[in-house]
Amino acid sequence: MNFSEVFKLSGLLCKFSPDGKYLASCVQYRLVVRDVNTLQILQLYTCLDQIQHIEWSADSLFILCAMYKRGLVQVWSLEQPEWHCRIDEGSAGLVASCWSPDGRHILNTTEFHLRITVWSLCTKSVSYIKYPKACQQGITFTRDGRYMALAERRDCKDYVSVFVCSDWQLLRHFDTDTQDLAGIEWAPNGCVLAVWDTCLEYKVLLYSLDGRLLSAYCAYEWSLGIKSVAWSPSSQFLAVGSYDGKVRILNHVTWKMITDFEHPATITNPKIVVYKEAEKSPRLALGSLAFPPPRAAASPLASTESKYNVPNAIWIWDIQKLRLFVVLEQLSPVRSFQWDPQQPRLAICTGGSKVYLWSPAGCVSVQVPGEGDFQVLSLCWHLNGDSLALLSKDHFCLCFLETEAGSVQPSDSWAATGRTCA
Amino acid sequence: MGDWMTVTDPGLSSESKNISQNTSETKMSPSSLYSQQVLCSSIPLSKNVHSFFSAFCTEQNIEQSISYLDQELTTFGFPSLYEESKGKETKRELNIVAVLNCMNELLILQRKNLLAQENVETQNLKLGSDMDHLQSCYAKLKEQLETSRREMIGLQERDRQLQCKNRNLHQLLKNEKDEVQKLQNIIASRATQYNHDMKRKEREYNKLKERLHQLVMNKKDKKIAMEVLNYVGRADGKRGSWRTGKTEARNEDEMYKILLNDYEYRQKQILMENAELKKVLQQMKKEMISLLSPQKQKPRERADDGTGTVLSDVEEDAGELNRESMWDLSCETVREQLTNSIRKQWRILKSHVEKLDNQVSKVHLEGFNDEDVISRQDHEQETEKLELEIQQCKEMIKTQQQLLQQLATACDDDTTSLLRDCYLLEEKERLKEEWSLFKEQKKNFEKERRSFTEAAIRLGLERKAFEEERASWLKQQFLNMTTFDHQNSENVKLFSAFSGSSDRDNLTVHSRPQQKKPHSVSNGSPACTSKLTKSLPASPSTSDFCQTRSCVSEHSSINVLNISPEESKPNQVGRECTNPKWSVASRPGAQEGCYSGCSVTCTNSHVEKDD
Repeated sequence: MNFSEVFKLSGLLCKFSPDGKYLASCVQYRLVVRDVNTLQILQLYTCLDQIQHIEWSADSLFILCAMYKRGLVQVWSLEQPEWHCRIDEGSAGLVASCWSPDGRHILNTTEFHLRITVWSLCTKSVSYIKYPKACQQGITFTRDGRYMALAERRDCKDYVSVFVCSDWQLLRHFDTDTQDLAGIEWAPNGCVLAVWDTCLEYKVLLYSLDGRLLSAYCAYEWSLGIKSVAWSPSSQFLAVGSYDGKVRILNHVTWKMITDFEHPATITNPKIVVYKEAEKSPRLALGSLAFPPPRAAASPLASTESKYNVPNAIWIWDIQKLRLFVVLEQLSPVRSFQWDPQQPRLAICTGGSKVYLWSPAGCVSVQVPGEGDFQVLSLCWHLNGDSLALLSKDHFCLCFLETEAGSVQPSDSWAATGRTCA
Repeated sequence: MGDWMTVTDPGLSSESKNISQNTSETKMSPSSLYSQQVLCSSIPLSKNVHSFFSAFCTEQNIEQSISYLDQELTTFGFPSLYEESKGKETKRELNIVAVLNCMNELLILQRKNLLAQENVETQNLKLGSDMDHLQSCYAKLKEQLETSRREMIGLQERDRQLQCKNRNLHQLLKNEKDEVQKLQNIIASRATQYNHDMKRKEREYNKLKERLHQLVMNKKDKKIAMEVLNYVGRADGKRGSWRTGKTEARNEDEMYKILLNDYEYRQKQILMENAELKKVLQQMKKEMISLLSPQKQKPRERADDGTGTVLSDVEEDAGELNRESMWDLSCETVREQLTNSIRKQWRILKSHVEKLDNQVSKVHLEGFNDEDVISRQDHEQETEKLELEIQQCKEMIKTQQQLLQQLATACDDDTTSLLRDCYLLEEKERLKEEWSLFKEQKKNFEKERRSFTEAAIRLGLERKAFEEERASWLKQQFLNMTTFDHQNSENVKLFSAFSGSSDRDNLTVHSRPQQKKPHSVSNGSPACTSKLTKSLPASPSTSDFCQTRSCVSEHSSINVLNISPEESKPNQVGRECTNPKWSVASRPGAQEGCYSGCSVTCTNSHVEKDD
């Protein structure tokens, strides 16, 4: 395992390009694009203000930098460094900006969610979409980039509009049976749209691409409902995490619950491996194993009640066997975790100077080398899964992992749950 | 209790009571006196009795008392005490024999009564104890009843309390339910109110938004613009198309195409899965059939609950399904058949496996237990053995040490002990030799004895032959000498029997009745009488009495009475010259003495003969 030198960074803005060739990072108002392999600076763009958001276009040709404070979006081209584009939302303000899947349109959400402006880089045409809903996840694109679903709110009622991304034509518009829609998400196959209600009510609605209601699922009533929803890569399962501390797995045939995973305070099943981070003297923690017994048996803690409330644990479930497989217990709250895009490997950071990697073979923690304390606040995987960007408040570095022959396609085998600190 | 006491009292102290009665009722009716007499006779030679006798009968009133007794006895069915008078004038004579018989009878009766009384008493005691036991039982049961009654009352009380509690709890539950209902209603109303408020707020918010929108958007904001160096080409390289109805239709088409593709994909997957499952099913079926077919005969023989028919079904089905044409058909009927057949087979298999499982588990359990037990036992035995060995070794070591010490300190003791041991061994040797000698001698003796017995047998045979010869010779002589006495010949026979085998002894017994004549003859001889007198004191009166009593119980009393006069006639003579009491006691003894006398006479005669 190797680490690159540490580079400056601001605002945790560091992203790999979708084709995996480049790495974009921001330092104040400058955008730096590096080559992933050599880490040499390929381009350096200067924006008008401190960058608050960056996003690569799907074809890795453009990068947009959003400066919400000024209501500005600047777009840069990698091919033509002299090419520039500036979008000013004016007095309407800007709260969100994103690429359309084709990489030629930018969707800007104005303040108070008054409207969404669709700017095209190909033509002068500008489209407006009125009444977008201000919610957790109001815009979702299909994986193939063909369709966009948008949550809307009109006359105190929730609607979903499905647009064709190629010409922004409204394909379907239907109202959803929700009190206060909280989020929408396309299944990876792009044929089913999951819609979930506000946290006050447990309700998942599943719509077909053509707007038909396929199914509705409600686990319980009169209590806080859904927290988060995630599709499995094969679109076969929908995982619904809720405030009752359970993850419910729905199947794609009947849209009924297959199983529910609890997060018990104590784990009694001896088959379940619990990795507990152990406190060690810093002298010994020189990039080696921090978990001396790699498959230690579970021993319940005394303060079990608070364990769940503090987001220190990551739960990994074996979906093939539909059971809990591993629990990772960290000393400090988990900040971020992300699956390796190629194989069942999970990277976790807790805001400390270590990065944790779990795979079915075991668990590893790695101390980030370098002078001073490198507090890993966030991380993101490279496309091929052989490198990892570790982000701290002011710096970032790359972590190169030993490449293993034979990469695996993403599968439904594993699911991880955890709470990250805001 | 009181009753019982009164009943038992006389039994327990009959003697004292009798005595008191005797003293108090001296002048009562003769019948009571009689009973008292009878009772008192059982008490041997008590002074009381004597004094009592003197009170009843004095020198002056013998006659009256006798007549009184006679009267009383006759009334009780005894024969008269007087001899039958020939004439009215002549004074009736007291028949002593009758008196004695009566007395005997009375005594016997007395004994019987005593026995009966004893029995009754014991029974009484038994009954009393039984009664006691029953009473105690009764008391216990009563107590139990009382306690159980109390318990019942307690339980009833508890039940009542619990019911009360239950009612209260029901009430509470109802209240709680009501509360829950109320709260739910409140929640629902709150929710509706919240929703209502939210809607109101949202409407306001929307209004504001609308206004803001108008303010921001309607005003031609120069700022809202896009500055771009030059427009780039589309990612797909195509030119943008105009939005028309056509494009809309095309979008629709595309969407449906996508959906269709998805459904087709899913269907394909499902079909593949189905095919896979069918394959598995088919394989399972085949394996099942192959697994079950060898046992086909057995179940049919066993005539189990229609397994045979099911199996035949299975075969048919298999035949059908083996055809490839059936393979891809998934119509209802085939499916039903398939599932049914599979279900049936599965049931058979399951039962079979369960049976096997049971057997195996049984065997396993037994085996396991056995093994377990054996192994444990073995282990324990082994450890015991080892411990014993250790103990032995330790002892050996100890003894060795001791020996070493002894050797070091005092070897004299050791030598003496060793010498002693040597002596003992020598003695033992000697004894052994003697023992073997004895054994040999014993053997020799046994041999001799055997030869002796053989010789004796031979001798006996010879003697027999000789006897016969002699008899024939005697016969001849007898025939020759007609004057020879018949009696003598018998005596000769008797002599031979006496000294001969036991077989001849029986003959003598049988011949006894024939010896009356010599007995009577010898009666007069002094030797015989002396023998009799000698035999009389030898036999205690009481024991003889017992014998007679047993005789009486065996025969009827009258019979004895009838026989005795005849047989005791010779003794009567002797009685006159001896103590009357003694004679009474010896009377039955005389009977026996008579028999012994017989034998004595026999021997006497034989001796005489011999002489």
